[in-house]
Order: sequence, then C-alpha cells, then structure tokens
Amino acid sequence: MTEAEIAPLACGRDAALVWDRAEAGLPLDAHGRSCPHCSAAYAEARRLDAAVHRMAATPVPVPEQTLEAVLGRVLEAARNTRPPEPLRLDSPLGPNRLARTAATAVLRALVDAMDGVRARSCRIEQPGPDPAIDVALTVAARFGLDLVSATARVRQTVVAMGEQALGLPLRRVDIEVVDLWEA
Amino acid sequence: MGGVTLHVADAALAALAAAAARGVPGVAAARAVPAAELVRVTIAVRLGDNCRDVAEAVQRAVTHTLAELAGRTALVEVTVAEVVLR
Repeated sequence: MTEAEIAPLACGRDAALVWDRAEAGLPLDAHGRSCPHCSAAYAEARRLDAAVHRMAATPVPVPEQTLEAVLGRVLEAARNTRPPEPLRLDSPLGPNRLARTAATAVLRALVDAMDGVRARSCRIEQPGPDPAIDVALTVAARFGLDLVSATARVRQTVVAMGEQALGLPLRRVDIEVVDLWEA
Repeated sequence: MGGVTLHVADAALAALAAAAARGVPGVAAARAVPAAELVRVTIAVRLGDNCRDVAEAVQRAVTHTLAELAGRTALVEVTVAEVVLR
C-alpha cells in the first residue's frame, strides 16, 4: 500500500467517502448509522473539521514591529526597482527615447511570427555613444527543426525587420535555443 | 493702446502638443507634459512604423504647432513608450 492509499474501514467501507460526507455536512446513510466503524470515523472527521474551521477563523495577531519591518522592506524594494533606462533615438532636433519594453516587445513579436520558433526572452543593450544596439534572445524551437538554419533565419529577420521597425541599427544579435517543443 | 500679453497655460500647451502628435501618421496615442522650456511627449507607435522616424516627425510637428499657434519656442523630447502590436 502506498502512502496515498487509504485503508478501508473494518466494515469494508472506503474511509474517504465517510470523511467526505462529514466534511460536506451530509448525514450518514443507513449502513453508516448502524455501523460502529463508520459512525466513529464520521464523528472523528466532524470533530477535526470543526477544529480546523475554528482555527481558520481565529485572527492571527501580527506584532507591530514585524509588520513595520516587512512594510519597510517592501517599500525599500519598490524604491530600488527603477524602470530600465530607455534607448536613445537620434534626431537632429535633439535626442528622443524608446522604452526598452516596447523595443523588446517588437523583437519578440517578430520572432513569434516565424514558423517553428518562439521567443522566450529578449535583452537589449545600447553600450556605445552611437545608437547601435546589441540584442540577446533566447528562443524555443520546434523539435526536429534544423537549429542552425532556424537561428540564422531568426538573426536575419531580427536584424532587417528590427532596424526597420525600431530605427536602431543592430550591431550584434546573440541567439540561444533554450527549449524544444514537440509539434 | 498698450501692449498685449499672451500667456498660454501649461494645460493648453499640453493639449496642443498632444493633438499635433496624434496627427502624425503611425501615432496610435499621445500625451504631452510641458516643463519650463521643455515639452515631453509620450507616444504609442503602431507596429510597422519606424519608431525613430515617427518620434522625429512628432518632434517636428509639435515644435511647429507650438510656435505657430502659441508663439512658444520649446525643446520637444519624444518618448516611444509602447508599440501597438495589433
């Protein structure tokens, strides 16, 4: 017998069925009412159920110091979580900006539109003084796909369409296949 | 007759700038916040339009509109906050 299995009662009844009736507040059937094993299991389950509900309804007092400490940590974490710096877009009238989340969404959508590959993550860096960007993509690919040609296709599409959609030259595109899925 | 003073409130400038931005092809939504000599314009661009080109076109349109209608020379900074995928 495994741990998940429940031994039947001495009368042969499935104990779990008796417990379910007790938990649902249903009365025992004719056999149960006359059976000492079923009656005992039913009564025990009712007692346990009542105790659990009583404990669940009891409010848990949180010490004020603990509450303040937890809130302080949450607020500190929120203050330190800054949105990532936007990407620079060159313009003769002064620099404009492109949110990284918007740029990554575009590149991910380009990959997702391709047959046999799905984007998992996308990271964009703009390291130099020029607006060129470096892209690091992780992708999942369909099982059986030629990964070399598929990643070459992804790179080619991202370079061409990414530059066209974002207006930023792509200097480097790194692609890592992190998962395969069966069609 | 004495001189005439024209003052355009920030709210009016913001409305003018946002309207000018929304008139640029490729812009799906726009809002503007004037801050001293700078007007920050935040836009959403439709997928397929070049973000850099749309941002620059918005810069030109807003600069021109503020000068033309409000007599204000302002530096315009555009942020593409979102690309509308569908």
